[in-house]
Amino acid sequence: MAAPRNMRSEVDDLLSEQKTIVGIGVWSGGHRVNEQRMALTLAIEDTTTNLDFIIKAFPNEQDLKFTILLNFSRCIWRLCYSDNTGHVNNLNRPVHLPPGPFNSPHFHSWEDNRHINTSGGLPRNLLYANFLPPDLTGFADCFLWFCEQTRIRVGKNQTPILPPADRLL
Amino acid sequence: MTLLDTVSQALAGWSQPKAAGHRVIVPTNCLFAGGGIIRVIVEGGQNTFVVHDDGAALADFENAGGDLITATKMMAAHFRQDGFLVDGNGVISAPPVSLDALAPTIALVANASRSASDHLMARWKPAFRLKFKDAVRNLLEAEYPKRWAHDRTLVGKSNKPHKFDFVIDLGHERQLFFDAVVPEATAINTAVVRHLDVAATHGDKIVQRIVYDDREAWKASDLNLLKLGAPAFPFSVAHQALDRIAA
Repeated sequence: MAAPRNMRSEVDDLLSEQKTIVGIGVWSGGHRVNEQRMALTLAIEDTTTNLDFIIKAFPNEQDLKFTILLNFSRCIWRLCYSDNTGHVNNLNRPVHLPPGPFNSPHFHSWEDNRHINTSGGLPRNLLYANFLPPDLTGFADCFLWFCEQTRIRVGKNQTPILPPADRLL
Repeated sequence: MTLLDTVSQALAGWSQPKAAGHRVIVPTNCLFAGGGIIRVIVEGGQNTFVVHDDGAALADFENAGGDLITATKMMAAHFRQDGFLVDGNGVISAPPVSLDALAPTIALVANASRSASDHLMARWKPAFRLKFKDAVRNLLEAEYPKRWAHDRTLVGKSNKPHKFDFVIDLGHERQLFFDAVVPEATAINTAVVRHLDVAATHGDKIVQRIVYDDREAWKASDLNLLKLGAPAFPFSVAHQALDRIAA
């Protein structure tokens, strides 16, 4: 029986592999007020993985707001698109990252956060963020960029369309 | 420009309150453990105001991967003595306040939001932790078929019965009792107490060990604590360690 590997190595391997989206994503409500979620299934060479690829949409917000998460139980990659959620990098941030505050769209990458736990475990929180490239303005751009960063191949018609607002005010 | 001017100018760069429909979003100076800026919402009229976190604590927890079906109930229980209300959507709010109490209430709700997020994170067991015993079980089934059992009870010196995760028959009436432990205070403490109590009363027919999940980070102090209960070995070398004992 092969010896188990540490969590961080498992995540490194999962992220380096080419992944595909399988199945059809569906928006579901009922999680939180004004929040809809889509959970997509990822596969490596046709075998499903333990990664959870989740998109949260907030269709009734005044401004565009969504979150894209890749979880391996704990969150390992996140893109936060909103002007209403902010973040500050702490004093131990990697030198290439600005301190913040990030009051505009930003992302928390595995590369910038994988070192947080030193003996193989996964970080409890993705402490470090960076600004999104300024040319990413809409959901589709951000989704495709996120997938590119995390080696998820997006097939034809696989880019989700955010759900429309379901109330007037 | 004086230092005061400079600092004031720097602070002016921090997000300022802004209107969003009938509510005002107030960015505070409080941060979640992951670095998220805590913003609270103020709603109300001329004299009475309601301050809430708009579910920010729960969102912060869920953005870290957290998923607890009972999260909102756990939050409500957490604040039972503190006067905050938690609704079914996980929104933490203070009772309505007058204008003179508005500013401190904003600070209190922001800190309550941080406290709730920490509370949920501390109690959440990611799926891979729950599956550690399954991983040990798979190893035993593969390497020691028909020689192992799970959830076996031994009575300790205190006369308290203790249930051990796994037992392997070593032959000659000897048995190896061991527990599979993840890096959590409750799991560590109960395993140590169980092993200490049993060690005080059983002879050399009972061998005790603890296997810990080294796919996760451990503090040296926690590993030292484990060793007080019984010799401990990491899961990555469990096969070799068990073979040596069974030889």
